Amino acid sequence: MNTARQQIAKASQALALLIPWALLAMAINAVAVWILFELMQMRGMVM
Amino acid sequence: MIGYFLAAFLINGLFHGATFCKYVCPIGQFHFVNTLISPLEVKVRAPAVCGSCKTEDCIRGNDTHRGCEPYLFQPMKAGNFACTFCLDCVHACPHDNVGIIAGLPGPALIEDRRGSGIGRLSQRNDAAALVWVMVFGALVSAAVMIDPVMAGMHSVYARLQLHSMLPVTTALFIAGIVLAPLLCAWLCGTVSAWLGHTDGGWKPQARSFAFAMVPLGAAMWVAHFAFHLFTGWQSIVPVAARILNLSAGMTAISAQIPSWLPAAQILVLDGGLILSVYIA
Repeated sequence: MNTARQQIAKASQALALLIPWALLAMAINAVAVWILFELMQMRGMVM
Repeated sequence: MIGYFLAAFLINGLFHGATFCKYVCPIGQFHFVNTLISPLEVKVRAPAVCGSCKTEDCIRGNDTHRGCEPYLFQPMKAGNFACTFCLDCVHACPHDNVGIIAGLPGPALIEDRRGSGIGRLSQRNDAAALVWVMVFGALVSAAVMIDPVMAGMHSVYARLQLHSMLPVTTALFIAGIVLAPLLCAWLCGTVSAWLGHTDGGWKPQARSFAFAMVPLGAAMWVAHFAFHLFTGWQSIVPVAARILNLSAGMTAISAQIPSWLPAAQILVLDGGLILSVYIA
């Protein structure tokens, strides 16, 4: 893919390009952790 | 189920190139995305052998074996995207030069090679959209099973005095796997292009960085399915009882969450996060 460093050679500019996506990845990870720690219902089973 | 197989026969009968498997089958789409980080890939063992090959049986087929239906030419194949692992190419190669080869996971997500039958993934809007759907689908498919979300859905159902939960569930899925990823891709793509001073707007960024999110999405699918597998494996008892028509085994069973499971799920999720940020 055109990763940040493949698009821009200068490290600081590549980091700037990356920041929103890294924040999004962390947000998705946080939501995933929250979901997994909530009680999950499974049909026909007593939790 | 019958409709699924009818659609498969009809579409693959009318169109060449395993059209149903490549573009329609939801199971195939799921695997195309998630096998981008598989440590296994169907590929050639020695590229030099392909250089001297005149018959190209891996794609053309021969008298005894079919060639690759999705038109992936092995010497130019890049990653697992669009590969159904049917192994027709493995059996067709007269030099025994194609196999399931182990390697580091994810090179197709870092390299932007033009692959046979798929082109460059970073230039394909449909592939990027599919990745966004799979990543957010991992969250939504698990979210609809947890208490707070279910309570919210039932609240909307009661307030609107609906006769079925279908409209509520449908609206949640549309919001979760279409609108939410579109909003995130637009927002992050716009900010990314602005911060990085790149031309072309948000779309090229959203296309490229979508593929970096694959490990994170795959990690959530693994964590979610692991929960069901390790807490619900005993459900085989009532299922078997129903098949054998035994009323004794028809009671609801108690699901036990193994003590090690939450830690393992977090480990998998964090592994996915690290790999995603590394790839980005």
